[in-house]
Amino acid sequence: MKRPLTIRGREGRSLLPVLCLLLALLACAACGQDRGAASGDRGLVIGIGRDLYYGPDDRTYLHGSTHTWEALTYLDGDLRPRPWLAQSWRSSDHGRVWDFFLRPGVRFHDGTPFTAADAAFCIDRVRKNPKYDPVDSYRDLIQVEALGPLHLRFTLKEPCPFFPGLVAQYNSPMVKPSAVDQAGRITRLVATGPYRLKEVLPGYEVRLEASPGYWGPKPAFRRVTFRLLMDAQTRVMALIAGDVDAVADVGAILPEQVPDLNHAAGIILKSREVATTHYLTFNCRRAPFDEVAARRWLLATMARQNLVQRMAGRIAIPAHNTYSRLAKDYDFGLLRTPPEAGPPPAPPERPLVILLHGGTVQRWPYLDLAQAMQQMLAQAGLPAEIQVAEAGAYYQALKKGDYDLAMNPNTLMTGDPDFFYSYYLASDAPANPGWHNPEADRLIAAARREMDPTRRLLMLQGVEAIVNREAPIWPLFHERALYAHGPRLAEFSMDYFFRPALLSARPASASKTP
Amino acid sequence: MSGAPWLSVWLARRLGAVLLVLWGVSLVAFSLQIICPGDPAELILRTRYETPAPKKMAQLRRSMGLDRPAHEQYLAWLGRVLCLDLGRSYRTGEPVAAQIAARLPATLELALASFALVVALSTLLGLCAVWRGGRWLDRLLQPISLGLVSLPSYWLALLLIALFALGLGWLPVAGFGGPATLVLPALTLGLGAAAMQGRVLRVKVLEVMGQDYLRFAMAKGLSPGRILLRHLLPNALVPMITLWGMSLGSLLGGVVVVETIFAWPGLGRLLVESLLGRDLPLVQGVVLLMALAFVLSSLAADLLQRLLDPRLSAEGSGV
Repeated sequence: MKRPLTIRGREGRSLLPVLCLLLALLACAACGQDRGAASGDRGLVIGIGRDLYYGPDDRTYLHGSTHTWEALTYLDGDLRPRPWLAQSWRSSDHGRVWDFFLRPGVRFHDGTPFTAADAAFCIDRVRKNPKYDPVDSYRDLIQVEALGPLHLRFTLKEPCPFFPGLVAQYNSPMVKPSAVDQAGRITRLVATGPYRLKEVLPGYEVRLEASPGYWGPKPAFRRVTFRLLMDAQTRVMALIAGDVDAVADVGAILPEQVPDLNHAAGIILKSREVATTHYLTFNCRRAPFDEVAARRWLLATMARQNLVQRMAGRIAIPAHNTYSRLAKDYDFGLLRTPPEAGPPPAPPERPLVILLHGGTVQRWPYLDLAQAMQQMLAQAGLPAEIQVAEAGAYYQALKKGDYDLAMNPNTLMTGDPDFFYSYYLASDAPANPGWHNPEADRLIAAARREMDPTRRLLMLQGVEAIVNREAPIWPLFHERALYAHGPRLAEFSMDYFFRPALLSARPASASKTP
Repeated sequence: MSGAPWLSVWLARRLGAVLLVLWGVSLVAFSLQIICPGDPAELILRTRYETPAPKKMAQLRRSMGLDRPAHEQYLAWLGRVLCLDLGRSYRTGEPVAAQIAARLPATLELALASFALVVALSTLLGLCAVWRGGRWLDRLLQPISLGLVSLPSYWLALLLIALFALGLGWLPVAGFGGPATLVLPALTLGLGAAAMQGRVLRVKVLEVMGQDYLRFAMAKGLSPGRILLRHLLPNALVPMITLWGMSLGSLLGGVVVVETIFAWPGLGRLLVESLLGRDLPLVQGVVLLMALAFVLSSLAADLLQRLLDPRLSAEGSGV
């Protein structure tokens, strides 16, 4: 057998210099990096898990977290509508006409004044395009018109007692009409917010700078960058390494990352109750959960085993309303877990299906909950399988009724229970799980038009009482969202819609305004 | 060699095959719309977990032409693509070509850096087999390269971040822009591929080293450098060109896991984001581009191989 030859000589020795060269390149790269943390000139950098850039063909171009655009009203911490670009409002004609009076002195980012005509244009833009008003919030709107430079009038087909909440935030983003093309697309974002868009690096960063002509208080940070870090581990490591100053967004920090962050030097971990509630949806169209007794049995058994607390304790707040308890005006607390479990339902001839949305299992402990539920059902002689589906398959299965149990989040975007009832509980609701109750339908429809607050509250309580009794959908928990910031920030918080409070964020050293 | 005739025939046939492949890819990319469950209009409207109203879904379906028969939609799309118009993204409303163009530099940067690393490291690893008798260095590198091949890229990435970003503080954890941000993703991508291809090259190098012509060259007293550059490398590297070509193709197609971990805004992540959001014009555009990158890099590798190896050219002329 031939022995392979070998090379001996200077060429062989040249391998070592090549390796040294590679190491030198690594060192050069390291020297070349701008970590900014030390120099303090990068402004505020926030790590997020989803892209805040929505693009021209969206109602807002950028997510509300960016504080670039503003709306007529906003919802406060109790989810009550408060003045924003509209300073005040009043209703007439039994709630069919709503007059909004705009804040004087508001200017767009380019310095031109913001008027009622601009506002009317923006509302029309939103309501005419299905992408900008997917839930059909303005279904009862006949017209919106500017009656003066600062006077805006909405005329509705039917009374709407919660109209100021309906126009809050995403439903009335105000952008400069001349920066919108004929198709309604925003060609460049010119709005009225405290920050204006400096640059979008697609798929990576949204860079903002403070708007010099902002009508309200000036933010402490002149520059803010939202950096898209999709991987949860990377987000937390970037925070610990000081590459980002804060991590704050939907599901930005996972419960299992809490121990790591608690032990990381200089990292301040915080939590905030948000307006998102997580639900267990029963398929009321087919056995066994077409029976109220079966639904109540499951809820009682889950409670007895403390399932939700065990699986989602760090981010879970027990739910006693079908919607966020932050909505203080409607915090009735009427939902009670059934005390007695009773006998389990008869098992169907097929395994039960617990359906999960693939996008949600990355953000919330749905899979853990589903697995615990699966085990619990098996013990009761009800074998179940868990199906994690991508978005399209998930919604198709929901529509077709190919599931027994499903879990989903919902955020009370308007601060009013009607937002939840109209889309989940009413018989004609797009996400109705096959549950029909004429009394609930009557109350939901009446409460939608009732202008007398006392009578309306009684109607809404009536709906809650029915849900408590029949449990077609059950709120598993209200969410407490986790977020964190590093030592460069003295003050940083996140609101109930997962938005970082940019106006109140403060650097640790107050002497320099980054 | 009378190069031109066989080369043009060969090239014409290969380009024909490329067009056929691209047409097949366009069919597959378009059929995603039909095969995948769910209503694209609903998914577009559900971006914030809101439940869209049926009326709004129907309106959007109409405005996007989704209510037309599939073959009509396909032909309309194909006609536009042939005019280099990839349409507009359902989600952002921006031209697909512009969105791809915005992500392409990041992909090119990472792909070329990783490719350079793969070529350099795999060559070094392959040559280590014969360096000074292939003894201790080869024995040391074999288990290391086996380990690198076996490591999942996600885990390797986290190890590199823990060492160079959190431990030593030399490099940023993730990000895009500047050489510092390129190092860790390029290493993550390059190390595994280089180790695997280095092992392939090592075998080839050992095989060539056993050939008579090489023994003869050494017996003639040629210098080691001349042997390496004139006899060993040209023979051992020819089969590697195909492997490298395929690597470049897949790197240009974007690498989702690495791009996700390192927040690298490349085409791989764009594809995943558009798939999850059922942004079909974008999916179709990116898939077509990836396929084009792959077939063209494979074609370039094949061509290079044939130009370098006269035996393959001779085969080509007979085809």
